[in-house]
Amino acid sequence: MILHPGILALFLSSLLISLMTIYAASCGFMILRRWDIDSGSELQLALERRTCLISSIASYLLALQLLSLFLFIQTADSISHLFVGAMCAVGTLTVNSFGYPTLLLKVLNFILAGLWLILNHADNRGYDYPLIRAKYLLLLIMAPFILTETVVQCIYFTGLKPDIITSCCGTLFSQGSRGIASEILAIPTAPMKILFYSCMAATLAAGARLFLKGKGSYIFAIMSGVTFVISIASIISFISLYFYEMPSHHCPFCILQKEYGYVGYPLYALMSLGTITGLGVGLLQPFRKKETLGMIIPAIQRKLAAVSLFSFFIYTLIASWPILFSSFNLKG
Amino acid sequence: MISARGISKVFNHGLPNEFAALHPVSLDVSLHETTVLKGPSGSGKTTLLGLMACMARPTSGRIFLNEREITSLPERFLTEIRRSTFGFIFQQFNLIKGLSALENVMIPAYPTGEKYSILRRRALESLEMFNLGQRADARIEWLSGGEAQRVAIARALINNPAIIIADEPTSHLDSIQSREFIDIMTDLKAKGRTIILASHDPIVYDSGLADRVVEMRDGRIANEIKSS
Ligand SMILES: Nc1ncnc2c1ncn2[C@@H]1O[C@H](COP(=O)(O)OP(=O)(O)OP(=O)(O)O)[C@@H](O)[C@H]1O
Ligand SMILES: [Mg+2]
Repeated sequence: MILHPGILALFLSSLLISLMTIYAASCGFMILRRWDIDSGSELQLALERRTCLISSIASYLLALQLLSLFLFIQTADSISHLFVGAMCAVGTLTVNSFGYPTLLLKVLNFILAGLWLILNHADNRGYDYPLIRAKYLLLLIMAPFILTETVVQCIYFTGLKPDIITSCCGTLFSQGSRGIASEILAIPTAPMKILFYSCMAATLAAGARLFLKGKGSYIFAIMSGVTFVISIASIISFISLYFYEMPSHHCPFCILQKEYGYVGYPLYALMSLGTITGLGVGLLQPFRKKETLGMIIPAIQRKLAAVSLFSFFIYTLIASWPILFSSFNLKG
Repeated sequence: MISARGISKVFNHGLPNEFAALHPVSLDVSLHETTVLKGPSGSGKTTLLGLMACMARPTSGRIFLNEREITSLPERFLTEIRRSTFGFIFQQFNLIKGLSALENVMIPAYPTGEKYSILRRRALESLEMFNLGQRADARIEWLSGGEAQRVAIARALINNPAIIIADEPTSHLDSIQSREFIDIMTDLKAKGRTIILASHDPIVYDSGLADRVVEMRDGRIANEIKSS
């Protein structure tokens, strides 16, 4: 294992989040089975006090979970010079076979944690714990993923040894390589551009409709999810090329580096913020019926839609900037 | 109406020094009358008042304030109810030493965001009502027991609470001051406030102020002595 501050921080935060998750899930189990707001039993009152504590701790630790995705990428990027053949985070992630699984789990947990925070925010606005069951159900669903992430990340970090020979992004994100990246690369860039811009336009339109008329929550949520996938594919397919000004360098990680002004961070941050808030709109939709949240949820959804719209819009703007203004031209 | 349904309070639950201060107790307090809790020391009066005023949570049981259940409310909702509904006069006054009488009276209203100059004027008026206008700038530790208590009353009234709760209000007062206190409360009652008192002082529970006297013993309601 490499003693790097980033690795230690990730290690520690995963451990904390896992411990909290185990405790919260065990309580959550009890809450799902025994919660009864009409009862004044000792158990019920104890559960009410405990959920208050758990919600506060969980909201801080899950916010940490959000940050940890970016810290993970940043750390992988910054220690890549320790491995032979690595140029960016890709090299670090391919040092052993647990790098990408860790990243994937982190992305998944990032989305789940974001959704939980939205649910918790809405729940806190009602006085009778309106979303308590949904909140703990989601926490129970998250628990195995969070624990797996901690274990896989631990195996990954302990297997990191300096001077291991690894691959560089050039070999992985080029036509002819195998895996999902090559599938994306096999799609020509022109239709990919059309797909990306039409998808974004549709999402923004759905968001605007939701914001203005309060209609189409589910459509907007689905569109946000689709946009997430298409955005990542587009970064690999063509957006990155314009930042690198190289016709065949498709790496989605090199844009996180200083040479490219760290532009990857705002891109990924905006994209994930837009996605989570967009998905959150759909997540809250079924709870509009709750008596104590009847007025509150539409207002929260509207705010979420605004944040999502803003994020996706700025994301598109940043991603399109070099396409529109740089002298680099794909067709050469 | 404050309606307590089977509330109990156990201190240090699960520890060797566990102590049940209240066994399940049910009590309806009408907001149109003045209720006095009486009983020997340690019978659970302060504990019961604290629960009814949302200052502590029961171990079990529910309390309804005008049909709204309050024991299940998360703290962020409770704060507002506590601030706007209850004025609590503590057994030990709990005034803050080092601050002036005026500042003590103003403190509970700070979170409401009321304009400082208006609040200050209201607090001064309130102190004047209790003949403490001259002592507004005096520090708490310089006040006599009776003066301190009147500051505590003024503080309890600053947010115009519907319900005034006083815990052993006469324990630090001589009989003349005690009667003055009864007069102040009678006056507030006439102005439509609900008053709930805990006391084992005959001056209080034998006064015309009390519409209803509930006797407590060993954490239980023993019986009702006087009912209107
Ligand atoms: N925080 C606490 N921890 C442990 N025990 C407590 C606590 N508060 C109160 N008690 C106990 O609960 C019992 C009831 O206390 P409470 O203060 O309600 O009595 P009271 O009727 O107000 O008495 P007094 O007339 O002396 O004021 C007492 O035996 C007291 O020691
Ligand atoms: Mg007492």
